[in-house]
Formats: sequence, C-alpha cells, structure tokens
Amino acid sequence: MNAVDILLVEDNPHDAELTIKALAEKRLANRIWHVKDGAEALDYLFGAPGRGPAPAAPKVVLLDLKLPKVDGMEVLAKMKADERLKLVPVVILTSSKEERDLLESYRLGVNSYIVKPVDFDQFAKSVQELGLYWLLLNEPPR
Amino acid sequence: MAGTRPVPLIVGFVTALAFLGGVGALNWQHSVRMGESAALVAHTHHVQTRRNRLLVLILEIESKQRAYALTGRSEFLDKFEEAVLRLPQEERILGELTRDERQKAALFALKPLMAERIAFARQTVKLRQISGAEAAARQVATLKGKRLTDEIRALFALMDARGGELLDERSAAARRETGTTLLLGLTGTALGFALLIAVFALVLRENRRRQRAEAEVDRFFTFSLDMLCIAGADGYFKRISPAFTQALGWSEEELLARPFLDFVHPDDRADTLHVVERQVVAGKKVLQFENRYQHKDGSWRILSWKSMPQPDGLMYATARDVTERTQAEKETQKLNDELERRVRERTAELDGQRQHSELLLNSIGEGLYGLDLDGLVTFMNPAGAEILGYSAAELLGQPMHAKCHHAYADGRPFPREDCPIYAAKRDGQVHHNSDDVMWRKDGSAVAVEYTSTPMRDKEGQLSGAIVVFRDITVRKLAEKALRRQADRLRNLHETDMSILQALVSPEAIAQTSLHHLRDLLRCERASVGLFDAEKKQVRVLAAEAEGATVVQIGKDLPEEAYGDLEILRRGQMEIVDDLHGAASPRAVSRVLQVEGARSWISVPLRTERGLIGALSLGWTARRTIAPEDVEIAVEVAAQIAVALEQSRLLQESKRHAAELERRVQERTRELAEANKELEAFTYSVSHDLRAPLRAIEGFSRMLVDGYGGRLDDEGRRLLGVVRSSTARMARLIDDLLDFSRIGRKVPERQEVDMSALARAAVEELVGEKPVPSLKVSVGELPAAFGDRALLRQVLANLIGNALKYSGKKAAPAVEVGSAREGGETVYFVKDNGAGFDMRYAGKLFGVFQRLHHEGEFEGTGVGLALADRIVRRHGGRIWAEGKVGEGAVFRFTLPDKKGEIHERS
Repeated sequence: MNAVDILLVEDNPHDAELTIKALAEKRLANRIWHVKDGAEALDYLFGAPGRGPAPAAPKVVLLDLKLPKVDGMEVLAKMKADERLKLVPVVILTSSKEERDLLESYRLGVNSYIVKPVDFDQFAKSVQELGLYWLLLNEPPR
Repeated sequence: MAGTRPVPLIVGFVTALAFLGGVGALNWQHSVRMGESAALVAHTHHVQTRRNRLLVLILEIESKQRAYALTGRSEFLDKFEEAVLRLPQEERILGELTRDERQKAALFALKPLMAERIAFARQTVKLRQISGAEAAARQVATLKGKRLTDEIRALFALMDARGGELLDERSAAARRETGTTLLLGLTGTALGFALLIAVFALVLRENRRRQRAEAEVDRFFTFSLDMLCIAGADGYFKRISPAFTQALGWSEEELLARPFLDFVHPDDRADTLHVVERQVVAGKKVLQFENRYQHKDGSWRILSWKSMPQPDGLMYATARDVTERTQAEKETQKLNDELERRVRERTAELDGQRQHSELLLNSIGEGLYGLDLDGLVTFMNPAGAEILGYSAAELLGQPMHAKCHHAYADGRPFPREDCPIYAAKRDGQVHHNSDDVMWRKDGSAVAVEYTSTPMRDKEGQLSGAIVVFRDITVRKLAEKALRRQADRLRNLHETDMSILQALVSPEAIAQTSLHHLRDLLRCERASVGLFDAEKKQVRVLAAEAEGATVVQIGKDLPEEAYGDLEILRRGQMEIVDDLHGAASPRAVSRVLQVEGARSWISVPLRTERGLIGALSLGWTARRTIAPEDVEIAVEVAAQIAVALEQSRLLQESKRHAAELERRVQERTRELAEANKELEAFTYSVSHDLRAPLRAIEGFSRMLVDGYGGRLDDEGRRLLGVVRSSTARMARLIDDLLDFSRIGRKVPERQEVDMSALARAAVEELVGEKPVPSLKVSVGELPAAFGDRALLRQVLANLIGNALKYSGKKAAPAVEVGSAREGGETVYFVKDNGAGFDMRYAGKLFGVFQRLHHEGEFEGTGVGLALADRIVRRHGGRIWAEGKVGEGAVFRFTLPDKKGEIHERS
C-alpha cells in the first residue's frame, strides 16, 4: 500500500464520486484513498489487527462527520490525540451546519470545516480549492 | 370765677355808657336849641334882606315913574312896568317869611299904601303919555307921591326897628344856648373820659387776672394725667391735652387731623357715636363711658370718658386710660370666678362624699355591720341583712357570733374566742378571712369573705369593730368552673399543638387525648375506634382502661362494640347512665357489664366524609352523666376527628406531591427524549436530505456538461427544471434548519449596533446584484439589546424581502429607520414594492406562508416566520402594513436593556 496524498472518508458513494471528480478536474486525485466509514478510516490510519502496520500518514484527510460504525468526530478525536497523526491536517467535509458540530470539531483541533454545498459548481470549487491548498500550497512540518 | 368777676366791670361799663349817653342827649338837646336860635337869627336877617329888597323895588318904581315923567323915555317906562310886575311876588314872599306879629301888622298897613303909590305912579305915567311932560311934572309936583313914599318908608323903618329888636333878642338867646351847650359838652366829655379810664383800668385788671387763670387752666390741661379734650360736633378733636399723645402714641397733629371715630375700635364706634349724639343733640352729660382707642402701635387702649356738652356744640371731655386697670379687673374677676368655682366644686364634692357614704352604706352589695365591745350588732346595712336572710331590725343588738357565725363550714362549732371578727375589737388589728361561712336565718350556710376593722373612740380606746362581708358563693362556683375550664383548655390546647405540629401520629394524639380525658372525667375506660365499612368492623385506634378488657389497641372488633351506628351516623351520641337498668341489653352492654362498666357513652367522630369512628367512655360506678361531661367528650371527639382528618389529608397531599413529582419527571424525560429525537431528526435532515440533492444536482450537471450536446432543447429544459428544483429544495432545507435551530437557541443578550448591522446587511444584499435605479437609505438606528447574529438575520430577511419585492419597480426604494412610539423604539423596513393585501396580513409570518406565486417572486416562505420567531424570542413584537402595488412596511420592537418591553404609557 503506497502512501497517499488524500484520505477521503465518505460513506455516500455519490458524494465520494462528486468529490473525486472535482479533484480529478484539477489533477489532484492521483493519490487518493477512499474509505466508506469511520472504522475503515481508523484501520487505515492506525493499522488493522492482523494486517500489518499502518501506511504512511496521508497529506490531508477529508472527513465526513456522519459515518456508519464510527463517526467522523471520533476519528478526528483519535487522530488529534495521536502523536504521529495529530500533525496531519484534517478537513471536515460535511452537510451539517450545526454549530454544535462546528464547535466540537474545532475544539478537537480540525484544520478546516467545509459545508458541502448542494450546488455542484460551488461544491466542486470548494473541494478543488481545499485540495489545492492542503496539497500544494500548505507547507507541512517535517 | 368767671361768673362773679364781670359784674362790677359791666356795672361800671354800663354806668359810663349811660352817663355819656345822658351827656350826649343833653348836648344834643342844647345843640338843637342852639341850632334853632341860630336859625331864628338867620331868619331875622333873611326877613330884613327881603324887606330891603321890597323897599328898593318900591323906590325903583317911584324913580322910574319920575324919570319917565321927566323924560318920557320908554326905557324908564319898561323898567317901571317890570318893577311893578315884581312887586306882588316880593310882597308875598315877605308876607310868608314874616312871623312877628308886629311886623305882620306893619306889613298889613303897608299893603294899601303900596297900592296907592303904584296907582299914583300909573296916573303920573298916564298923564305923561296923554298930557305930556308938564302935566306930569305938575302931578309930581303935587308931592302926593312924595308923601306916600315917606309913609311907606316910615312903615319900613318901623319894621326894621322891630327886626333889629328881634335880632338882638335872638342873637342873645343863641349866644346863651351856645354857652350852655359848650359847658354841657365839656363837662359830659370830661366825665365820660373819667369813667372810660376807670372802666379801662378795670378791664385791664380783669384781663390780667383772666390770663393768669387761663395760664393756670392751660397748665392743668398740659400737665393733667387724665386726658383732656375739646371735641366738636363735627367729629374732630379741637384741642387735646398732651396726655393723649402719651397714652395713644399719636402726635397732636395726627389726632386732630382725623375724626376721632377713626381711632375708636370698630366694635365701639356705634356706641361712641350714640353717646356723642346724645350729648350734642340732647345736651346730656356723660359720666361713665368706656371705649377702645387705637394706639399708634396698633394695640387697643381702653379709655374711660367723662364729658360735658356745651351749648355751642363743643364737648369738654376727660378720659383716663383704664386698659391696665380693666385688665387687672378682668384678672381679678377671673381669679374670683375661679375661686368661686372651686368653692362650688369643693362644696359639691363634699356633698357628694356625704351622699356617697350614705349610699355606700345603704346600697353596696357588700354586707356591713358594726359591733360593740360585747359583740352586739350596732348597725347592719340592708345588703348585709339580705345576705344573712334577716331584716336589719332583727339583728340589731343581737350577739353576732352566736347568731350567724356559730359553726365552721363543716358544721363543727366555732368557739367565740377563736372568732377573728371578734378578735378585731380585742386586739385592735384588722382581721381578714377570704374563705369562711356565715349561717343564714334559714339554717343554710353562705360562703363569705370578710374584713373586721377595729373602731376606736375619740380617746383612742377600742370601742368595737366594723365588719364588711361579701357573699362569695358565686365566686367559689366560678372558681371551680374556671379550674375545670382551664383543664379542658389545656387538654384541647395540647391536642391542638400536637395536631398543628404534626409531630406525632394520629394514634399518639388520640392516646394523649384519652389520657387527659380520663383525668378530666374520671372515667375508668376510654377508647377510640375507627370504622371499616367494608369489613363491618371497628379497629381500636387508642385505648386506656383499668382492668381487663377486650378493647386493645390495633384490635378489630365488631361494629356494635361502639354502639348503634345509626345513632352515631346521625351525629348523635349514645348515653347510658346505668347499664344495669337498660331495658333490652344489647351485646355491647353485656360485654361492658361483664368488664365492670356501669355508665357509658359513645360519641361519634365525624369529618366531612361522614362518620369515621367513635369515642367510647365508661365508668365503673353509676354516674349521672352531666351536660358538661358530654361537652368535654364531644370536644375531644371533635379534636380527634380533626387530628385524624388532618393526618389523612397530610398523607393524601404527600401522595399527591409524590405523584406529581413522578409525573413531572416522566414528562421531563419524555420531553428530553422528544427533544433529543428532534435534534437527531434535524441533524439527519441536515446530513442525509442534502446528500441525495447534491447527487441529483451534481449528476444532472454532469449530464448537461457531458451529454448536453446529445439532448434537444426540451431535454435540456427538463434537466434545468430538475436542477432548479434541487436548488430550491436545498434552500428550503437550509431555511427549515435555520428555523428549527432558532427555536432551540437561547438568544444572547448584548448591546447591538443596529445601524451597523443594517448597513452590513444592505451591503451584502445589494452588493450581490447592484441596480443603478435602486435607492436604499439606512437611518441612524438606536442600539438594541439582544443576540447579534439573530438580529442580523432579522434585518437581512426584512431588507432582503424589501429589495426582492421592490425589485420590479422602475425606481425601487428601501428605507431602514426607527421611531419612538409610546416609549419604545420601533425599527422599520419600508419599500415601495409589490406590497400586500392587508386581509392576509395575519398569514405573513406563518412558516411556508406566501402571498406571492413562486413565478412572481422566489422564496421559501420561511424568512418572515424566522424574523417573527427571532423577534418574539427576544420579547419584542413584529407586524406589517402594506397595500397592493404600493409597498409595505415591516416594523418590530425589541426590549430595552433590562430585557423588558417598555410599557406603553
């Protein structure tokens, strides 16, 4: 399993497709890894029992909040509590505008919180911009 | 003085006048006579003159006749004729003037001579005229004329001689008269002067004396301590003594300048005027009159007047300032009155005391009698006699102890030596006994309280005793009743306290009450039973008994154990004085009898719910159950009933409270669950509802992008509808989520700059799609107090609406402003847009309520509902006015800093 640039945690296949398509338009989808729930995300990030150690951390995690099994907030909390993973930028990409979610995310140390627009143009633009930012512009600590 | 002095002066004066008058008269008389003499002399001269003239006229006639006769010249003839004509007149005058007889005689003799002479003359003249000069000359030469003339002359000479005689006579008389008159005049004048001088001297002397007298009067006037004055009928003082000035403080000028009534106290003016009138009109003296005059300092001085009216209308009056005296008199009068009053009072008091003593003796309810040294009754008042059942006469002279005080209350003989009543007359001490008896005539005892006081004669030797005594039967009964009452009350009170404090169970209360009740009523057994209607049983709640009994606490007994339920249900009690004598013994009676009870009562315990139990009391000895016993039992029964009811209610309310508490908790839990569900719902709406929308939108977009070329126009239009519907759905979801979120959010409270908020909202909204013709004005808005984000939403919604609905106008205008109305700030957003029909104003703020079609103006119908919800959650109001085609105004109020809406004043 090669190291990836983007870990996309999204249960809705359509949203996932739209996200990947948007990133692809800007050629940012080359090294993207898509998981469909929080448990899978944790497995990927921390390594699953019996499947060897975890791969190198992704450059950015795009995390939905409402996920089956383990929700996004828990994934975020675990990442930010982990020495190795807490420096990995996490972008919450969600439909929720609930203030509760916003506050909780920031409290846990999220790096960005994006509400997914329904309008595709806007949605695509948002995803492309955040991809560009975290992958190309942002200088992660070494 | 003035009355006696003028007499000699006047006499002298009159004498002088009379004398001078006499002299004058005499003088005048002589002067008249002197005048008369002089006149006579003058007359004599006058007559002489006239005579001469007559003679001359006669001679003239003769000479002219002769001259004519000689010359014949007519001028002589004329003169002759003229003289002849004058002659009779002269002759007549002389005749009138002549009064002397002798002259008259001569004159008389003269007349014919003159006539003859004139006749001769005429003859001569005629001769001359007729016969000429010669004849005339002859005629003349006859000397007849001459003779006649001589005779005439002689007569004149005679008359002259007589005239001369008369003249001498009269002149002498005149001279005499003059002399006398002169003498008289001189003498009279001299005497007159002398008299005048004398009178003048007298007058001078009198004058000096008068001046001295006046000076004396003046001095009196000036130095008199009494006020002296002269007043005129015109109401003004004419003169006043300086004492006035001193007494009244006014200057003399001031007092004289105004009518004296001005100074008189208004209340005294009528009297004063009356007195003045009486003086002036009737000329009455005033001997005593008082009135008040005003002092210059405004105070009133009481003046006492004496006044003497004068015929000339002046009043001579003296006044004295009696203010102090009057006041002193008043004081004295007051003191006298006071003294008199006190004397009267004292007299009345003494009278009263005397009567009082008599009354006391005769009418007081207490007995009163006197004893001599032998213990015999000296007097007895009616009350005393009545208490003892005797008449006062029956007891007089009787040995009191033997008669009425011979035994103690229990019947033991009362030795005379031990009697405290008698002791007083022996030892001289006061003896008192508040609990003893005396014996009445009918042999019964009467409870008394008495005081025996020793009596001493003038020498201080004991002479007997006075005894006051009182029938205390009623008091003793009352005391007994009172003690019982106190016991009852204490018992009731204790029960009450137990109930009120709810410290003990109703069982304990009942038990305590029974204990007290047994003490009070001296009953051997007492119990309280509670009925159980279903089981037809009665449970013993409390019981206290001496000896063995079936009545034990907690035991269930048959209902009949507490008596006849029917009677008790009616609220009546069962009373059996003697169980042995009961006509048809019931089971209960038998049981009671077996257990040793003889008398018995059962009292119902009743509450609002009806009969709940009974109180049963039993005595082992036969007892006539008194009304008071019943009363006490009823009281206690009522108490126990109340205690039981109270306890029941308490239990019930505790149960209620617990039930309520449980329900509240349940409800709260339900609500919390519902709330949680709702939150979960909105959360899932927010997440899950949008995801499919995004897919529809995104994929239809991809369809357009990737396959648009292969679709015809209709296909593309249909895809467009899909996408726009999706967008609308997304918006609806967003708005709905906003709406529900605000419903859950508690607004913050902070000061919000509404102007800045409105400007920001306008900028944001207009900035999206600027229209050149649009005019937006934002006035200065007062700061509000509330949640900034929420208020921003309100403004944004209202302004957004205004822009939206005015957007189709040629010159859209939106105004944001505020106004003070009725003590509160009203913010408003106004536009000139499509407006609305006021009939639907009520629907404006409902969720999803729209007054315009989607085709006209887009929108979800949530914006105003949201604004309404926010304003109301702040405690404010929102309302709108509009007119179709002309625009709308939305207004809202917000509470002030204290979080309260201003009261409309």
